[in-house]
Amino acid sequence: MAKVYISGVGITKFGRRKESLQTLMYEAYAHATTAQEPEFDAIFVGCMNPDEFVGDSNFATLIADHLGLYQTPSVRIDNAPASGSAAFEQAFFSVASGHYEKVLVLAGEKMSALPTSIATRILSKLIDKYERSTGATMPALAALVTRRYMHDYGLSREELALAAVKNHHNGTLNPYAQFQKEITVEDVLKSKMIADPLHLYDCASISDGACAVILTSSKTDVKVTGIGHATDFLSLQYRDSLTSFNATKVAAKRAYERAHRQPKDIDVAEVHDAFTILEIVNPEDLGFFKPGEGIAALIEGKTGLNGEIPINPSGGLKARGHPVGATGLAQICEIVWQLRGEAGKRQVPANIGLCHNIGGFVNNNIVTILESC
Amino acid sequence: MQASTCTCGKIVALNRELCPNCGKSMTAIELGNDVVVLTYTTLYTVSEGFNAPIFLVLVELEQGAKLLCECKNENDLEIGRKGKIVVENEKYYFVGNMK
Ligand SMILES: [Zn+2]
Repeated sequence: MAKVYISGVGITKFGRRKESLQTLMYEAYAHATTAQEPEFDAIFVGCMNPDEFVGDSNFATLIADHLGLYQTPSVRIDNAPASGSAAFEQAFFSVASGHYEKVLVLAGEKMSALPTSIATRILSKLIDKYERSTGATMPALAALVTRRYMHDYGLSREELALAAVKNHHNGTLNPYAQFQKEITVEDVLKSKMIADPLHLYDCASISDGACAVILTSSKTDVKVTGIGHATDFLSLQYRDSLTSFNATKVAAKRAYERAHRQPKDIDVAEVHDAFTILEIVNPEDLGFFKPGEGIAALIEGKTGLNGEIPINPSGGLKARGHPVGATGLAQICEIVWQLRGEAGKRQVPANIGLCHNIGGFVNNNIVTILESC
Repeated sequence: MQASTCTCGKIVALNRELCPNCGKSMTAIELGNDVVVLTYTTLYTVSEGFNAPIFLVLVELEQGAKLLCECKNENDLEIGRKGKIVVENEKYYFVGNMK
């Protein structure tokens, strides 16, 4: 198996953007590439639902055409909100197999053109058909998990808000983040109630944005050392635990085994905090803390920029924004910058980094480990 | 209450052909109607086509099967609350027992 390295990475500012999705992808692509490397063996495009969000299908061809990459093989990967990491994973396989030597990964979504109720309906299709017939939305399922976690581990509503406060702080240091403004616990609790106990500021935003990453078999300073991927039951009601997610645990175990690493080896992680509760549960499921100890880790600053395991230095989905298809690749970009010492004011000391991207309601998860070399 | 069970030990609410855990054929069974609330939420921002607020509960049925359904009465939203599932217009609802 060929070793797989990362060369260029690029990202657009996330947020409500006027430009088309292909224009955003071009912007990310222009940041990731140099004039010396216009040739790619293939393009992998991570995008969850261009058909409904922007009204285009055949998006892989549209992008190859838009970028002027005439005749280059191009394929779109839809893996729910884990489309960005899934495109990266498939691109990784194509280089690791020796079939290709240099490939372009693009990922993005443009969600803000539609009213929130329609975007909510599109996102609710990620949920099992019976469960969504009850009216359940993604925030509703997250609220069910949050309520049970609060009950089982004594998490208070104020403590939960600290996850949003922390990630908004990190977002102030990230010029690409949708939200670059500090917030307080009171701001979270005063924001509109979405699904009790979750307020607006507990939920990642509707956002537009795109990212680009180049994978190559030629040695660079960042190597992809392990990818793990796992699914769980589509229905929440089929699962044994309501406070821990098996798809994260299994994906992480597979990634650690392939990278020959353990949780304690990880210096920095980007995790999928689509809802504040996930900022606490994900680090537990990734093995950084025991069940229930994610609360103290957050309160004591262990997951802050100066903590023992900084989580979401980018601001995470909460502050960077969550254009669903883009998120997994945005996490890769952030970890590459952290490993290269190019993360500016949010830089943490790091040689080994981890990305954790969730598809669906925590049932199609991908964990990727990157290392300096 | 309709449910489906498998020789691997998996049991799920409602009818289902293949086991989500092992892929074998499931057997349809009837479970009793006594349930307990595991967790709940009141949903204020709803999808297009639904009216807010929606009271949602995830309840535990016999043998550990779980069901997500609506709850009629806001006062029944409590972890550990015991009650029954009623069916109206082919939809399931949780109703708490008399206190
Ligand atoms: Zn089975």
